Amino acid sequence: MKRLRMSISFKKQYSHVYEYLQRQGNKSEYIAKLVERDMQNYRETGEQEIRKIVLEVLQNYVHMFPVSMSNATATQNNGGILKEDADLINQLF
Amino acid sequence: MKVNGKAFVFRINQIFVLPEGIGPVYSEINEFRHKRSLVIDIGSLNVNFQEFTNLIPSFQQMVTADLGINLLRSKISDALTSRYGTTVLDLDVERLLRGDKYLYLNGEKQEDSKEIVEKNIGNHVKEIFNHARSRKISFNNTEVIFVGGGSLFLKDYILREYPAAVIHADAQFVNVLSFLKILEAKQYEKA
Repeated sequence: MKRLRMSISFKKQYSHVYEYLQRQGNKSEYIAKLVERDMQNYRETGEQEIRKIVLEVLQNYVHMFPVSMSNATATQNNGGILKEDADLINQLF
Repeated sequence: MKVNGKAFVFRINQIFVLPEGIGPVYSEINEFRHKRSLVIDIGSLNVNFQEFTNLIPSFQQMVTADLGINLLRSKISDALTSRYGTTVLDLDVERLLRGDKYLYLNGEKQEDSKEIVEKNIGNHVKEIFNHARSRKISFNNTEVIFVGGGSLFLKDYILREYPAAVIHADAQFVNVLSFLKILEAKQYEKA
């Protein structure tokens, strides 16, 4: 089978990527694996997009209603931030 | 930059200027919602004082003093050098502070060295409080919270000077946790 050869060049803005790639042992293998992983991700993107849209809709739905102090604590314990707190922090900093 | 052998590339898009010693005020936001608090952050180089009332920082009460742990280390090394007439390096003091606080010269324990070390630490802590008071920072009706790696090291001496002080359990990382909360608020604004 004929060897599959390719020559690639990098734009200046990707010089850090070029330097990082230079440090890899087998560059062809490294690039091939990265591309393969990206192809795999691409297949999964559709599902992730739907998930993201659903989450956004749910978040907007939650913010449509005022939240009491007791609920506020619960929300924060889940690692989120309240709209009121976010507004205050954004005013301060 | 590499973390655990894995390469990460960071691109900085935006910068926010925040008080250095912010403590747990925003990471534990419900605790400080209706409270006046004074955060004292003891770092390697300096000590930051920042007062908050109901989550709002008072920038008139934001003070920095060159009283970090490195300065204390130098003070102790100077005191021991002058007492024993031999050079005691900052590195020696570092080891001594992590141990029993006695200086050993040629394998011989210097009995009065511990007293010198403890006196210097005690005075340094007093200096931190005096600096705040001299800058009109009030300790009345305020919860005083110590953060920063230095506050863990000085814990016993701080509590001796100010028994009501709270030394935060996650003193080394709590500032960053509050910064993370501010970042969440910024992301919320964008969403």
